[in-house]
Amino acid sequence: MDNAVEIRGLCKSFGSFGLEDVSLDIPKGYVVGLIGENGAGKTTLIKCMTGACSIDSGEVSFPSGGRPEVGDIGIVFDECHFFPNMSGAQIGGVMSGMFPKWDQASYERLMSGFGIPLDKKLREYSRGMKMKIQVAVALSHDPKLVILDEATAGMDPAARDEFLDIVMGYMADEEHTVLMSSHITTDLERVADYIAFIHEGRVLMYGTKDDIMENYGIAKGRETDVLSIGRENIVSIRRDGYSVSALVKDRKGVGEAYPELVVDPASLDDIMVMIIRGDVA
Amino acid sequence: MMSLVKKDLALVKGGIIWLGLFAAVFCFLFIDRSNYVMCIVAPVLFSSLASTSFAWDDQCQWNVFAVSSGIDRKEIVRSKYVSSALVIPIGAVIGAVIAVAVTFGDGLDLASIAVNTLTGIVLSVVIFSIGICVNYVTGNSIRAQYLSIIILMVSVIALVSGTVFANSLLGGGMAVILAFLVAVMAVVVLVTYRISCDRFLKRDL
Repeated sequence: MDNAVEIRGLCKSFGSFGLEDVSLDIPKGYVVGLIGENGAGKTTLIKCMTGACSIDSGEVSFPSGGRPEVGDIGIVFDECHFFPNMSGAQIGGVMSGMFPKWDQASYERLMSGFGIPLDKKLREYSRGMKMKIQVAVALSHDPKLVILDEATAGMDPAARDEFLDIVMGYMADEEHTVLMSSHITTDLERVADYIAFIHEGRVLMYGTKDDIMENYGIAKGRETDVLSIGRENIVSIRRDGYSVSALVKDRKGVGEAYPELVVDPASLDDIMVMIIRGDVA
Repeated sequence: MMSLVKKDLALVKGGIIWLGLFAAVFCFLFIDRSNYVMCIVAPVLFSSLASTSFAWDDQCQWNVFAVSSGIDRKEIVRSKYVSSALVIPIGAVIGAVIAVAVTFGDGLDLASIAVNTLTGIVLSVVIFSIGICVNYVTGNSIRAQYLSIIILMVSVIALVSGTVFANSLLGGGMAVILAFLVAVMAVVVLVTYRISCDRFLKRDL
């Protein structure tokens, strides 16, 4: 499979926190969801990928061999990095000079579709509008890879739904790839093909969304029964009062081998909570 | 790079207008008219606009977006030098126009105005180059503004002393002084550019 990005053994330290031995492939033509709690390292990983942060060791590879060309990556951050005293038209003017494949007509069409007048200054935009102008910019220079870093955070459900429709529209062409970091797991359940879970600077889990949703489960029961599953099958354990829950990698296998346990399917949310709030095995 | 330059000029557009008015009034009212110092002061005032664009970039964390989008960091540094250099002629023209206006019909000395204007431009380039470098070394536009004031005062004193020394060493004449200043300017621009690139390339955004 062609990969849009390949990450091997990436390490980056910021004193007490850091990314440790992160290896990840972003397959071309797919949506990869990056989930993790606040401070897990999602944004740091993205910045290391794009060159905004240096890496201590490891490698980030793109198909071109070197750094990506200007415009190959479209990026949307949770905070808008455009200037508040500029209008949408002025920002489009700046971008047209920055990106070789800038499509002004596409930008104006997207802004019109979002209902954002081009003469309005950014300081008058709502949070949702600021995200939308970032999306309009990101999609208007024909990037091969679009990175969405917590782009839906703070959006209302209708705005998130519209945003995800745009992402799916962009993905209709199989030449495009999306890396979407979020802790709104329902968004990723809707659009992602692959899921990478990052926790305390490490990638704990990476696979197709369907495999993860199909295979991961939560086994509940008495502590002795749950622990009898064996550490090799358990991802994390959480103790709540009198009962114990364990996140397991092979839901069906554990269910068949240990019929005394209740093994439920795990949503991405469940997986995230179990890993963050449980004891990782 | 030109889009980055246009971006910086758009950000400081308001500052250009207000600084232009301030420079015009200040030079007209307060500067000694006998020695055309306004031709030096006006462009030097405009050299402070470099720090304004840095303040905007810091506030919006623009560099995170620019570098993540693939813009070369050296290109960003170069654009700062170019955009800062482009506003200096505005100050130079204001200073020269005021000099002509106040001395017209009363011993107008175009040669002195030209020499002082050139001196002002050279000094401005030195000042904004040091200012840009301080911004990249400190990584903080607010801290850089305070440090810049101290460094620039020291630089100007050093430059004036060096000019006097060079003048005494090489013999009199504005041509010699200007040549010395241009040489110093070239060295300052090159050294500060190298340091700025070196620091910015290593910075985690």
